[in-house]
Amino acid sequence: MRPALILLAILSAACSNNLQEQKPDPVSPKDGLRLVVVSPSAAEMLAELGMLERIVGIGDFVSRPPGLNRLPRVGPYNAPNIEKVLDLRADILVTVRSEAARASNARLRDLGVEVLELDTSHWEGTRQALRTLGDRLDLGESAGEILASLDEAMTTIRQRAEGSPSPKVLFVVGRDPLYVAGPGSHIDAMIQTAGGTNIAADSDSPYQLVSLETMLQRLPEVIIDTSDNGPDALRGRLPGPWDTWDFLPAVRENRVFWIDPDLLVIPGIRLPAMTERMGRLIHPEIFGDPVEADFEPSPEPGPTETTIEDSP
Amino acid sequence: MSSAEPAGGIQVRNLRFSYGERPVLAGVDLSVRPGEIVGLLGPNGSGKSTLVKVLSGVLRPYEGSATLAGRELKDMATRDVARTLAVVPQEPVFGFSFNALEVVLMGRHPHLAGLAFESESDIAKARTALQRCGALEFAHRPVLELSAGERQRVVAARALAQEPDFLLLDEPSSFMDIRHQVELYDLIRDQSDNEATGVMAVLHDLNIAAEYCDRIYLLKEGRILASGPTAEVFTYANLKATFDTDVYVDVNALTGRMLVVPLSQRRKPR
Amino acid sequence: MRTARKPLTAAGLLWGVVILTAVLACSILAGLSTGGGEGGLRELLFPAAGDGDGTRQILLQVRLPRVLLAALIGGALTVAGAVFQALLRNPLADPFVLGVSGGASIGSVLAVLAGIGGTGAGMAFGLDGRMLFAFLGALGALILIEKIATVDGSMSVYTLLLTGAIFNAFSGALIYFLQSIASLEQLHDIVFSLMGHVPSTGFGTVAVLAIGILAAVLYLFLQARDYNAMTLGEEGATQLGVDVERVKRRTFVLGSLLTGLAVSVAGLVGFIGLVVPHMLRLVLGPDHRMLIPCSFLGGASFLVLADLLARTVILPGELPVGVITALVGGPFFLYLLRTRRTGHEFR
Repeated sequence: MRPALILLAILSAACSNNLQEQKPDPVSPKDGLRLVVVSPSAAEMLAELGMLERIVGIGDFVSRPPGLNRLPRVGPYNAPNIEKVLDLRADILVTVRSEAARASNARLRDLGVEVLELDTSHWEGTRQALRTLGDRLDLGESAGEILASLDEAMTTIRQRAEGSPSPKVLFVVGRDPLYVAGPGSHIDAMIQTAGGTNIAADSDSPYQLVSLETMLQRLPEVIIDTSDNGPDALRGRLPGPWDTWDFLPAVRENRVFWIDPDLLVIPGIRLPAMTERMGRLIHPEIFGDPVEADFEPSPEPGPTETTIEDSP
Repeated sequence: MSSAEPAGGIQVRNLRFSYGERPVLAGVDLSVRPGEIVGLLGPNGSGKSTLVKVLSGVLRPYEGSATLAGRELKDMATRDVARTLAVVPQEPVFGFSFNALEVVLMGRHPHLAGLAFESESDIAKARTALQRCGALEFAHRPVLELSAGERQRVVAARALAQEPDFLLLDEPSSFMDIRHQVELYDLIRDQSDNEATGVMAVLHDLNIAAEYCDRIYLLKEGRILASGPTAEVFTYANLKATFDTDVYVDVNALTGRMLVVPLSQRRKPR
Repeated sequence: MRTARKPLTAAGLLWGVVILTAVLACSILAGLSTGGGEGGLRELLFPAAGDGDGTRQILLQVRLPRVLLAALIGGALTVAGAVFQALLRNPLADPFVLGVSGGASIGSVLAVLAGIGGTGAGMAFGLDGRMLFAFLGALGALILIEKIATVDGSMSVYTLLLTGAIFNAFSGALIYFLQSIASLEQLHDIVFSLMGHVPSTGFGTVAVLAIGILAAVLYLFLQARDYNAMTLGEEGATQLGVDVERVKRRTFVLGSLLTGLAVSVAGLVGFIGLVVPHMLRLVLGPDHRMLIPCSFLGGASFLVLADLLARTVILPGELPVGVITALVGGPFFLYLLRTRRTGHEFR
């Protein structure tokens, strides 16, 4: 009983210390903010805003820009390691809005870390996230400029696709069982913007287990399959296992595409580029034929590793 | 006594069995002839139930020798043992909603091959056994709904339906009232007399033993202390040595058999 | 007063099997009659000339193998439940409740992690490494659970249920651990492989499963009379001439095989081995010569119908079939636990 009480006292003292140090004012961006970023989309936005140097730690799922990979990792967004975040003396944790992380985010706030929760699961949220980051980092202006150019890019894509027939698209997240992007997902929005019709648009949730029979019966004209991603994954324009269903227009017309999910599934600032990629898959007559980089990320220079050799 | 035994019975020579390091049977010699009832008596933990389990093939391996009708138990398949010898256990176990007739029919198990179904004659045998044990009236009731005494009669019927050459009874009357005890042992006596079934009965009740058994073995700490005709074995000295309890031994004036009455420890020894 | 049940005869068994086969046939027809695709029995039986929109192909290559798989998996899990129950003399011994499915799922996840159980590009292959690993996982779990739950040579129902529950919690935790060291793409495979979902595979997989499952069921059926005797306890069964160790060994191996095959293909589909044998015992009596074949047929019907629900109630979406079996089976389990506690079955 007694040791537990003492421990508690020490802990709460430590907490109040922290509170006193950190609580009074949000740290101003000029004072060398220290950022820990667990949201993959936010990391890309921060890079775009020129704030890469301020990032001192990243989450497990953050992989872009590649330069970040050398930084210490603090766990996944849904369960960040509080101690590591504190250890990095983070001023701000930039994270994804997540029910699972609510308690740990609240705890981090109590301990004096500012937590920015961004919802980048859809385009509007992504725009809002960019604005939030710009405002918080006193970079409102450049955020505004980026936003404007992104908006313009999206509008251009939409306008280019407008008026042409809208092919039926099946976007596969998982193949066995069949798991697809439904209404409310950024993928659904991309398909629409690029001038396609998502044949799973009438399902109940953004990501949904659906009936294979129904999806086949709806005769998709384009299949975009991001489900295969082990080593030796299928990539490129080929029917793959879908050739079982030779009655599908997508199979007959050779419009089944196997794509690295990273190129289409992770939402954020690359959305215009991703949407244009989607455009090349759905409307090559408008956006041009897909290129190799549309199927597989181009090999990026990995983090430069210095080999430490034993020297006498 | 030993050399003249007919080969047909149960012959046990220098039988030893231990649970791990703990010896339970430390060299038992015993025989059961066809048509006789042999009583096995002894205090708790003396090894009576273990002996029943060894002889019915449940506990293996043993050292020494045990033969059933001339065949060494070690060399017999479980099924062959079950065709020769049936057991009425102390605490029978049941599962699911099998009724009494179905449980008795299980006694035909060793006589049937593979998936075979019980024939009309098997069913007739089961019904006869139920009737002999006074259990026909609840033939169609689930055994789990019967009283402990009723179940014991069903189990006795199952053993009879097995048509064994030998019956091993392990305190089968623990849950029975006197009337049903007497009916059961009368039945066993009939079976022994008429079918030449050899019976070894583990018994607690010394007077039941005196009434029904032809011979008695007294077992203590895995060894036979005394054996022979009931009248010779049931002496004050033997019983005192076996049970560490004072008893009054006399002859039942009505039957001429032995009469044993346990005496309270608080009574001053004579 | 209940009506007297006659001892089982060959004719009685034949009747039971015929009736349940008819039930299964009706379930399969119902399963084939509707689904996400437009085709139904009419398109299946009276094919129109040409199949431009693939309706018939969807029926034959998506719905038909899935219905057949549901039947095989339902039958396998139910027979596994029935023989585990016979061995443990306990109506609550379902592969899921006992934790055997949990063991199989650990095996299945390990196979995914080892990269030999891909849902990857090998969609058409009949065999995959998950089957073997799931079988070994199930067998390991069963042996472990039996060892732990046996105290002084007998198994109390509460120890057994507790051991199963704890083993399930343990295997759940182990799977969380495996998930957390898995890569993102493996994670996806793992989550879906455990979901309790009847897939639509090629006929190669259907054939492999059919051979494995039917052979195991047949073998278990051949020792049906031994299971009857086993209800008298291991000692009682031995005294009736049953080679108890051999029956136990075969039951462990084949029951684990059935569970492992089912889990490797369909993930965790719970409680079906609990519900169906119990219902059948109420109607047909406890004789295992009847119970084992009828459990296969009844369990097959049950899962075909449950899967029919799973794949049609929220079209174009689908529910994992494990959700439906658990919604039926969970309350049923509690009901059994409550009403049967006074009986002696649990001794």
